Amino acid sequence: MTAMLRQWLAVVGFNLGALRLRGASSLVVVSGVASVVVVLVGLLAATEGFDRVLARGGDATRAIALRDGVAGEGGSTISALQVALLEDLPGVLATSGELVVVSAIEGPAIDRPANIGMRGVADAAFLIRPEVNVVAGRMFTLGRKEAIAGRRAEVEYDDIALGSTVALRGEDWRIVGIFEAAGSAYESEVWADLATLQSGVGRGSNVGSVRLRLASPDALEEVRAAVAADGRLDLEVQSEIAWLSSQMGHVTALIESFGYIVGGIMGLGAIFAGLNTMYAAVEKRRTEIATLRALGFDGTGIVLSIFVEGALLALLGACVGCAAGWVVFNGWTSSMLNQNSYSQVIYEFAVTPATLTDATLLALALGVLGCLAPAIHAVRQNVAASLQQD
Amino acid sequence: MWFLALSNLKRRLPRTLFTWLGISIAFLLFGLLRAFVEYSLGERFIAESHARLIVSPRYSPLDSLPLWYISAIESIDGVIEVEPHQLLAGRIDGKRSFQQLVADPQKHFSIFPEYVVNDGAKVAFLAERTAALAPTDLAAEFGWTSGQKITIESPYPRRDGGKLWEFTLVGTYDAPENVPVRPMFLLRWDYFDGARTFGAGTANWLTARVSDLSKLDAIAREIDTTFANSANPTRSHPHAAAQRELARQVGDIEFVTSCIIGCAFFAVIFSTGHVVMQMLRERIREFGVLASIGFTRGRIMTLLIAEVGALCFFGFVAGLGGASLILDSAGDSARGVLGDLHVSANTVALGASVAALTLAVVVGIPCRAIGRMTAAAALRGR
Repeated sequence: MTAMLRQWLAVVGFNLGALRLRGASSLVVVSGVASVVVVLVGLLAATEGFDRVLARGGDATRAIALRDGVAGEGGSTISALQVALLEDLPGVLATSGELVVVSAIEGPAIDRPANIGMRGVADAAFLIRPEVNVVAGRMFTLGRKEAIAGRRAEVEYDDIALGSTVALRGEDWRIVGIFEAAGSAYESEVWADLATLQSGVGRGSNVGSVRLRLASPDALEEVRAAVAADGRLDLEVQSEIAWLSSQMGHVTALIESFGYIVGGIMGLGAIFAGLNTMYAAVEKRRTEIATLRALGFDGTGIVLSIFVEGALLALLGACVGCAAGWVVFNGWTSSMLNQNSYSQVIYEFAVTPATLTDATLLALALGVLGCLAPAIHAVRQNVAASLQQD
Repeated sequence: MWFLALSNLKRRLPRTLFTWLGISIAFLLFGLLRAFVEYSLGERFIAESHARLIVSPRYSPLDSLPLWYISAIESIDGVIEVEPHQLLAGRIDGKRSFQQLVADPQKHFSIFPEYVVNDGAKVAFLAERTAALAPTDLAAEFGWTSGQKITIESPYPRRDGGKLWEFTLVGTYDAPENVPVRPMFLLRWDYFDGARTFGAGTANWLTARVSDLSKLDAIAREIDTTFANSANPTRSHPHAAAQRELARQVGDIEFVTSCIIGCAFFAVIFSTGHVVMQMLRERIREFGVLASIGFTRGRIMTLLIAEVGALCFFGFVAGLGGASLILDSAGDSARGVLGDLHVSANTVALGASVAALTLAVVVGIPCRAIGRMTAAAALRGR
């Protein structure tokens, strides 16, 4: 048994030693696999980054109330009376009525059309969301056309910067502060004084949505029952987590499957490119393989040496692809339109160990699949004919 | 010459086959992704011959425009008629949700003449306030027949408090394959606007029919200037431009797909280039023989280019052909989700230049080597 193992190892080792003689053709496998991996890493990093934005906004003790049947915060209208009624419900500790309107950014630095969400908030918004902190500049002043911008909005749009004035919905707003919100979608928005925004857009005292702080996650059912029982509240109350994932969860699933389809097609292409290389490698080793067979080596070692070569080259390609993908994509910001609210959600590409593992496994599979036919070809060759060749 | 090139390709059939398949796969991906990009960027609107402007609220698609804008815009020179629109997403039977378009029955089919509707249905749509027209495929899906009452649960409450809207289906209509905006369930503006609680007297957007394609931009500017200082400023675009703007906002689709295609062709150029170099090394003696029996270097180069060109050409044909087949067969099930994707003439032209570029890059180095080759050296295998 050990003799056989030694024999196999010898053949594998011998082949790997000779690999550098086939440098250029090995590079074909490496570059083919690397290009598949880069694309896959990029697309998966986008979905992962986007998922993180969605996942981070939610809190199990928070709920959101919207007008029944509307898809997004922007399309909803809730009266001041309804906000007061919600506040009094059992199980509700605090409420924050908020008005979200959308504005195209019309600054000079916009190269791709973008809508930003503007959220009118009062003090309660910050009490309900302790994760929101002004990290630069200061809070807006009540009654003034001042706003604080989310960290990502500041990064993504050159027109939005601390101290700058930006035209939103036809009025000039001064950005006096930058806030963070634990990486959630709020960081894609600008926030301003609720009353100032309400009068600016002519909404009177109406708000669009209400955030509720619940006594406990279980209080949600109680609140929902109370809302359903009150004829004045034609509202839909959902847990914040469920609402956030309903907003754009399907988009990430779509991009993910897009990524795997594209990766699959490219992988097929990489296999074909790799087949050429592996066949050429077998061809080059034809005499060597025949000699080994003639000396009494069995086919397993030879097959093994081919698979190890393919897998190693694919792994090398995976490493190159992962490294390139990480360098290029990790932390890159981009934005997608939330089709319910018609505003942009900004996210950072996140290359995670899981993504890299997935891509590497795919690469390995490509490497092994590409070796199958050449390996069979190698051991099926006629020993005598191959030896006579040269 | 061609015979020589083709028989050379047959010499190492597996290698030719794999190289060709690699190139084909790259073009397959190219064809699929370009179809997707063109669809989402509204390229399909380019061939549109109808002079129409979309007039939307300037700041946000969630805002609305007052209905008096209709007569104001219709009074602009060159504007023939203006129709208000509202898009609704109502549910039927409490589950399946689909889009409904609120339209003006007087104007809709003259502003959108590409839709196919029989005169009977048109007249019936005009006659009855609660009338509705359904796209043929939607009617078939729900098994609706003409004259049937259809109840839709809408997020728009009625003035009487209910959320259920009842319509009488008076007929169906359809659109030829190449019409970019697929038909939607149509209901009448006067009925909807008169019965809704919120937003009566306003529209999501307006569509203006203009006398002449060449006047589109000027009229768009004039409309936007007219309302610039009002409480509801507008943003007017030709149909295609409006669609493209929305698509660019959804995500950086063109950039992402270009990156993917770039990656795929990088790998293809690398591997095909390697195969061509291999071919050159194997056959250098042969080229020496050809040179000594009177082939000029140019003719030898042409031979090589013809061989590789054949690979690129057949890869291009197979790839785009495959993409076209896939899109056509997946079409019916995917159309609802992805829309009507197909490999356009534009994609074919772009693909041809990509194929030519690939060929140029791949044969560049070997051709330089052949250009410097002397028959004597080549015969010695150098």
